Amino acid sequence: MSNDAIIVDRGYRTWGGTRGGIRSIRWAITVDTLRRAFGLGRRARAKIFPWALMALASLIALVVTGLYIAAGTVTGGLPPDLLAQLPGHPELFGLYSAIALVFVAVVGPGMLIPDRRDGTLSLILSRPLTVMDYLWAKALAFVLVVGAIQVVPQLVLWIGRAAVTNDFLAYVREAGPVLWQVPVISAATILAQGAVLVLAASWINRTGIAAAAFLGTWAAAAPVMGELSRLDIPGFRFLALGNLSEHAEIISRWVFGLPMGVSSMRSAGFDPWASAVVLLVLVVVAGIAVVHRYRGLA
Amino acid sequence: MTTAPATPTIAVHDLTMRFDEVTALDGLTLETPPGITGLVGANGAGKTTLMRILLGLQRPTTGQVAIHGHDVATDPIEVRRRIGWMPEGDCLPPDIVAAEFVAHTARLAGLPKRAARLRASETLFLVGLEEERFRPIGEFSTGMTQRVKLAQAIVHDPELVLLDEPASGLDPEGRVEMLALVRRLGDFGIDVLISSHVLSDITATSSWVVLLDHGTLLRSGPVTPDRTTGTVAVEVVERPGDLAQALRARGVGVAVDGPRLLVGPGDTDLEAAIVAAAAATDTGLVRMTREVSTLEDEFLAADADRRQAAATGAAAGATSGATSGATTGGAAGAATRGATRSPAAASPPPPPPPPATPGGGA
Repeated sequence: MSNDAIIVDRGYRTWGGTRGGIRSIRWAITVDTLRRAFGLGRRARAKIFPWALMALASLIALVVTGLYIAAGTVTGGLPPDLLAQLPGHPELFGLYSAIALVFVAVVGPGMLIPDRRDGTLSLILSRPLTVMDYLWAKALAFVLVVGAIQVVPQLVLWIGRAAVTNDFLAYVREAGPVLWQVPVISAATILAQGAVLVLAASWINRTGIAAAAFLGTWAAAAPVMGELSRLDIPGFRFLALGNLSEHAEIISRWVFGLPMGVSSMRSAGFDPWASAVVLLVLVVVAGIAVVHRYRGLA
Repeated sequence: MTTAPATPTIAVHDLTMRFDEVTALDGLTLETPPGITGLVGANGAGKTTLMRILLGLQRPTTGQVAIHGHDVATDPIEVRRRIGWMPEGDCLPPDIVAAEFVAHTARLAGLPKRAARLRASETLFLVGLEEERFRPIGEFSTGMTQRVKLAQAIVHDPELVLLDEPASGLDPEGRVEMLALVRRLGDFGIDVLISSHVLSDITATSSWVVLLDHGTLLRSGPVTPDRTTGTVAVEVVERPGDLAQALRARGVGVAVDGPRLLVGPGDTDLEAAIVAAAAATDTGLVRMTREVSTLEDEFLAADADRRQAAATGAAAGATSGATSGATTGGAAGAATRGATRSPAAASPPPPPPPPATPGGGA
């Protein structure tokens, strides 16, 4: 063979190696969806918003944690009344729920719509997986990204406070429940926001319109359903159940053991269990509708 | 139907697919051998529907489909593991680079991450996109997107590839290159089902052909090379009747069509007989060509037969209904189906197919 020989045609090689099962295929969809959510492998413009929100969320977590660390170490301890004014886990959760809401509205539709709009869905479903596998993979990506926004900063705060406490065991006894409370409350928020989002994003092909529909539904539910439920008309009190944005807040207060405060649900005579049931029903209805929708598309 | 000789790659039995009142596939039964099979039919013939059923994406109304012996209805996941699909329409995300997308589709077939990336590069090289594989797909031309679609269809080493109009929208050069790629798949040992409404695409690539028309099977059999029909087409300057008469006097069959005569069929002495008759009648010859039968003629003839049969059946049904004084469900149903599926089916039969393109010189 000549020394300057070149390969002009590599031909085609068969694949004799192992193939992953359905788990690896689902995970591939989840990873691809996460990459899309954060604009990875896309143009810079696609990265701006998700990374800006993540940076904001991280910054807030670091600042608050830093304040606790400073209060416990540098200054030698803040006065109790001042320390009480620093945001704790419940306050931080409210803040991160708001950030998650914006993230879900702006990034969420892009996790579901493009596959359908670009026609990629038909290619994906021509691979060895079912519609349910596809939707589970998408749901996992959504839970991971929105869950991370809500849980990770709380974890950072918890670890930061634990690091500067004088009595670690006492801190664990006192603040230990936060470690299960935050995931539970995050799950309630994710389910509520996710159910409304997938209903919008499964039928609307424009991400901007889907985001507007999601935010509009979320924002309009409180004044419309809340006010209507207060009218002295028989049966109208049940409209409080449609106040979607209130349920996650009620469950949050319930789980954290905080006072319930004023809410249309409470005014209508419903206890927190009703919010949990409403979220469950909402998720089931949204799940059935989306599965039906995607089976039709397949 | 002609039965495929070897173990069938695709076996379809009594397949019917109805969408509300439209019957997309009607009692289809066929088998295809390994190699490249062409699926031919006009738009709306049921090609894409058949492909979607083969993929298990569409559940047929009735009938069974098996690929390499695996029943699509009972084992769609296993079937899809062995298949690659190149759809006709848009199916590519415009915002990511080709290499990443093709690697992703490889992972969707279960390939490990590293292997998926490697095979994506190799496959894109194979389809001629080595340089462009790191460009966003949205910047690609139609020809390049078709190549990406082909790459994703074969990246996971399928046993069978379904190509839905792979040359659609391509310029002549791109078309030739795409068909060459399809032929190479056959060389690599990958079975291919290529659909097209362009018959020359099929004859250029396939060894077996399935002709569909309005959801019914016109023919399933090997692609045969164009062959002479045994007749000779003759164009004359004037007085074709004189030449026809002289030929008939020599015992040769002639049909006159304006200045054109169809002589034969007959043996190889036809040309000599025509020249002799022309000399005897002092007739000037313009052109003399052997008539060639192509796949297109076969398709048109079979289609004409089907329409004729449909029109005859509809007329018979209507007469029967009128005679009995009652509209039977079957006759009414047949008429309705005919009208829904094919307006032409209810019309008088079309004229016979146009003469074939002359393939040989005089």
